[in-house]
Amino acid sequence: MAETQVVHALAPAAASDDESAFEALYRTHAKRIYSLAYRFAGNAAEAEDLLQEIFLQAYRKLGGFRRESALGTWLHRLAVNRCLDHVRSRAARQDAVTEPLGPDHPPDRAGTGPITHLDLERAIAQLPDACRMAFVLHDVEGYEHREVAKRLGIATGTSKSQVHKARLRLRRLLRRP
Amino acid sequence: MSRNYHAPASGPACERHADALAALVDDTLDPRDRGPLDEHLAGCAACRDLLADLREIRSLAATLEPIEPPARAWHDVRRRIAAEDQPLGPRVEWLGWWSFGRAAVAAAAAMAAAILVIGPAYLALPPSSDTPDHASRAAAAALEAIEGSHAAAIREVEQRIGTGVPIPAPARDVLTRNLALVDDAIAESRSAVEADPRAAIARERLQAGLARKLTLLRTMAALELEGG
Repeated sequence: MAETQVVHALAPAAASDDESAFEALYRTHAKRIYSLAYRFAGNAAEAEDLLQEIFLQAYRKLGGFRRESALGTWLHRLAVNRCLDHVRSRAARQDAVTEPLGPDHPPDRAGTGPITHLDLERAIAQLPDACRMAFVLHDVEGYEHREVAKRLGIATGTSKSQVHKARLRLRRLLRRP
Repeated sequence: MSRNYHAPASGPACERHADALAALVDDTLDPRDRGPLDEHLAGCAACRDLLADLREIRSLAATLEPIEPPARAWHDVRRRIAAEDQPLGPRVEWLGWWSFGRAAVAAAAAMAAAILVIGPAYLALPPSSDTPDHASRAAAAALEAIEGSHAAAIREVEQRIGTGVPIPAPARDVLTRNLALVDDAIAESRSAVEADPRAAIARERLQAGLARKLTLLRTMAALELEGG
């Protein structure tokens, strides 16, 4: 059952305890939103700032929430947009909207064991912004290429290309010594 | 990861099949292109390794765990919300789902508390001049008048629950918890009515409790139905 159906069914039973209700919303979605922010930003400090801003924005905009989507979907879309804005403005500040695929940093990984999720998290943080955003949306969040393209304002073919570049770059970063 | 990383897939034939290989990793390869790529892969260890590595990366990425935010993050969000100078407005309506559990618990608890307080007060009233038989018949009549209007509807909905798509755990738990609280409140109200069939507040509480139970049951049935 979709969350929106639950919302619709129970909305009439709403109470006025707004803050505890919002805390419940936060507790339910904070991990997913923080993970998205962390992977977009590439570091914990910016991810935490983003998490706060996203929920503050959600709090301000809840009055405008329409029933066309589930609350979680609405919140996630809001989070993706905020994360995109953040990475783009950061890139603009650094005067580097996109980065060429230059030489990789030395691999963080040691040993010859299987690649772990932590290895991959670290490697994702080293990706250039453009392909990291496409990769996170497609391979981590499960968006289709056309959705990634729409969110990033690029062509579907460019999304495919960015995701592929990201995987190739990750392969190099994760190579065994 | 690749056994042949140092011999990357970069020959002319590999380059010709690069797009097809990327599409294969994405599961979007046109079946018509699969044959030529398979032929190439059969003779190219570097591309086979590349394919295996890219698929491994994609698979790992899809199973990354959510990352726990710092505990202080909520306190900071709360502090910033508190600093907001905005009326709550329509937010409340849309947070109905989130506040529902607390609201229902509070309502049921209030109902139960009221009955716990009011019930003994009725019992402390001067004894009725009615005979025990008459009092008992009056109580039965009062209960029948109140419960009769809801009993059939509750039974009918109860029979439907459990026949649809199971309700997800969070919603089911809230509903079940609230249903138990409302049942407790109903039992208390019923006792109060039995003790004094003339007690208008007790009868109203029982009526409200039964209506609340029916609403909860109908909600459960509707959620099961919508789940399909």
